[in-house]
Amino acid sequence: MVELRDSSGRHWQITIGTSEATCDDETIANEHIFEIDARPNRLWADGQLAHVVKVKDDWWVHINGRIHVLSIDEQGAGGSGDEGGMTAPMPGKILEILCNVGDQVETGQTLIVMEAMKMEHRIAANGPGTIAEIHYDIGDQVDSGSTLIDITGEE
Amino acid sequence: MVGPDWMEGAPRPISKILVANRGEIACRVFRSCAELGLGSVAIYSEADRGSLHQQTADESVFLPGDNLSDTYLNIEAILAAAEETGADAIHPGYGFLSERSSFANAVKGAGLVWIGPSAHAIDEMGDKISARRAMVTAGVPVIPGEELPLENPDDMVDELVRAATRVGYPLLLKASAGGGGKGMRMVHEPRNLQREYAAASREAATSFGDGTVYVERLLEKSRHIEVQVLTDTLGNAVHLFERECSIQRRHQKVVEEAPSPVLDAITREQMGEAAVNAAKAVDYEGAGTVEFLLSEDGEFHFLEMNTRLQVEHPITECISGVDLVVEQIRVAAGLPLPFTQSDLTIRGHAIEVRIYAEDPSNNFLPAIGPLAMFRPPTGPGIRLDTGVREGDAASIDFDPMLAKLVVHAPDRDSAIRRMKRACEDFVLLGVTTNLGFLSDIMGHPAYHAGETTTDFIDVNWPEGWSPETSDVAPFVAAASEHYGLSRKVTTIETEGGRGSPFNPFLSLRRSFP
Repeated sequence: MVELRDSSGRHWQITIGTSEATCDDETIANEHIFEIDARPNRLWADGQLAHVVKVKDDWWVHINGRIHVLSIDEQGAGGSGDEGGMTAPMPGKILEILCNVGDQVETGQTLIVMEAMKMEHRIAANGPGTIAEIHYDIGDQVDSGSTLIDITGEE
Repeated sequence: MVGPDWMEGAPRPISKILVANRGEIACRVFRSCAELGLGSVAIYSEADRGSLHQQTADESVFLPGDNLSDTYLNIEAILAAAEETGADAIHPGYGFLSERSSFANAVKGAGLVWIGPSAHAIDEMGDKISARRAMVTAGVPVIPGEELPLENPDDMVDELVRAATRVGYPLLLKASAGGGGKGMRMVHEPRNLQREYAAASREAATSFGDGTVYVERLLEKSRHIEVQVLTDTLGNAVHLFERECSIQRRHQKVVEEAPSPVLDAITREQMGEAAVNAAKAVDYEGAGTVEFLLSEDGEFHFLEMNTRLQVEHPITECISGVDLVVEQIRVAAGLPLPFTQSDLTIRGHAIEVRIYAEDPSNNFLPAIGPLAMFRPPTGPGIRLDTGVREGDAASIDFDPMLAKLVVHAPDRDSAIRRMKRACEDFVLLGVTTNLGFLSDIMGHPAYHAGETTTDFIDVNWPEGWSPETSDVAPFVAAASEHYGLSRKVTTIETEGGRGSPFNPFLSLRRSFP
């Protein structure tokens, strides 16, 4: 069985051998016909040519003129949580830090200005709260997904 | 003997061209060099070692250093590379040093042929204020607005506020040396003025090394229409009709087409004439682009002149049948244009989309990742200009543009259908791109209706764009897992890891993708 999540967050449990499938928000038809092409990364699904490639934990699928990314779902790996983690949306450099530890901030307030590919991006507070920790300094390079700032929510 | 036969008798013969650029535009020029019988030289930085542009040129010179100022912006090193390889001409491409008059002068000073306009023309048009003045003198209509050079952010805040008030909101802050959407900020309300000004001047300083910013009235609901001009050094000048480049995100173009879906023959002729006058006013030489804003009432205003080859030049090549790079080279060699205005006609319709490594469902944030699969569409009327191949990676080092997909068809409707099909056929896996979004633009009734104003994306996707979900895709992925297709995929190295020459799988993968 493979557990997958698509870009809209739908969670799938699929078994091909016995053709079982469940999706967390609807019941979907589970009769699909697969034909394996002689070449790697190609298969026929319901009469449509699909190109597939696995990169790290994601499946990239091109089928019927569209590209889909499906992540292999890890059981119990919850989202980033409602509070706390303000993460870098892309790799880049910290240009400005507009808050200090202990500051009260409002939702949408700009906390950090980053630069990536010569464009500036503003990182705004994802909720009201207090700045608990700032993990980087101005000029630091950060990877995509790095936690930049921790905010503790208001009780 | 210098240069190929067709160069015989040219006042400034060329035999080998160094391209002071990288990526798709360097590849574009190298291909023309090969077809013209000219030698070609690439320069490349560490991040571009083994890149397509390095490998397309006949010879290549490595420029060490981590910063652009050490490599693609390093005039001294580029001239040394030309000397080392015996290149006798330099093509600057777009971006980088293409619009630096100091570079044009340095190239000529080194006794090389500069494939571009004179330093005087670059300076005159590069400074928005002098350009505006020159256009007023030449009788070319300009945008209503305030002319205000701002040089020192600390001293000029009061003056900025006063100027902004006189110009009126909404307004546009632009880097005087800017372009390509960098250093450009929209300000809708006075309270955002200072913050946006600081950001604009900083972006301008990072991208262009010049923090000067300029205030201009923002004309909403306008169309961005630009006219391609071509002039030789003997006083001949023509225009090659217009391109419409209204669909933009972050002030960067996403979709361009030629001809414009709205221009009538009379306006086209007027704009073409104005563009030729603009070029003549600065004694322009070679290929250049005069940008206009066309407002709803049909009036057009001079926006700026780009004194270089444009990213979107292929659509003009499609409809005019003129190879602009070839003409640039011929003009630089001192040869006359081989045609006059009356020889030129519009043939069919062409569209270009820019394929970016970015997430259109998340504010168009740049994305990185391996080009695990890169299978471009093929067929009649399809052209792809790119600097990458399968196995390369979209990295943080450079602009996120991966490729330009161009289609040419007899009329606009068939061009749109062709582009939609081409976008859908493009198998580009491993990095998030805007392909799905581009395909949706091609399928959008507003695009079909030619309603391509600069706010097209905001108007038609006010809540942002999100990709179509699929019920069969998860099964395809699961089937691949089940049948073990994943085992046929070796790990693809992303940026940083591709330096190791001792990884046998890496080289295998490149040979037999």
